[in-house]
Amino acid sequence: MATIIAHRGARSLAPENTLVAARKAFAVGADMWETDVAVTADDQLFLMHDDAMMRTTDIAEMFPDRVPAPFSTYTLSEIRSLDAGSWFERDDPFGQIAVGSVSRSELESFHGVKVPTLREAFELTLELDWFVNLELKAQPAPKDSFDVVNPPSSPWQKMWGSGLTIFSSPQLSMTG
Amino acid sequence: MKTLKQRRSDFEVHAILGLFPEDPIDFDDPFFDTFNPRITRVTIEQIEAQLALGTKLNPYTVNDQETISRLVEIGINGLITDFPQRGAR
Repeated sequence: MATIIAHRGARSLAPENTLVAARKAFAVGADMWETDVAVTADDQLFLMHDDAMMRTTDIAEMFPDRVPAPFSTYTLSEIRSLDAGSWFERDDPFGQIAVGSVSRSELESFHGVKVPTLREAFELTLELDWFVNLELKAQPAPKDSFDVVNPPSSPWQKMWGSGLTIFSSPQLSMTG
Repeated sequence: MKTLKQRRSDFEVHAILGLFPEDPIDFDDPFFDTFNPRITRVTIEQIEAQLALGTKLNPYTVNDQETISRLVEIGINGLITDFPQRGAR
């Protein structure tokens, strides 16, 4: 059978690249979720697709003088201050709220959700005994001092020791 | 990615094909375990030909029910979708 991989979580039903979107993907039967790994100014790994973060967070309201600077110029604590869920109800990006596929209580649960760290993503994946496919962002340029196998302050080691298989889908430009 | 694969040969390493319009769709690089082509850049016939050669494929982003069903029918390894609810069994 084909492996159904939920792109950024169940992003038609919940705000992409959040833990609620991952949980939703699991709930609807996905075999795996795909997500995007980005790095902060202070070398912390987290989940984000767009460089400028404006589409999927309230960063334009929180840091109006800094947008559209890329995510790599923000610290983890700044990124953790963002609301990564409220935009979903406002934008209904796949029209699934309009057709009644997202309940009112689910919509309410999206408000104020945080941008997840990679550690949280791994912890959830382990909790669900599930699989994740990581896409590595091309931005910023590879850091010479950044160990891609055991990056600083990361949960990679724990995840790798767990016996789960992690799938990594690199952009071809990422050679680490 | 090379470092990662050298040190963790148990990880699957996937290639994303067709991320940018000018990118070639090349299934030949033996570095990768699985190839994830952009669905709009390949035909069903090309996919079938690669599957027949034993190439592992997870095309992206496949959202319409008809294409999801067709890919499953021809034995696709996996597919990346915004609508996992449509692929669930």
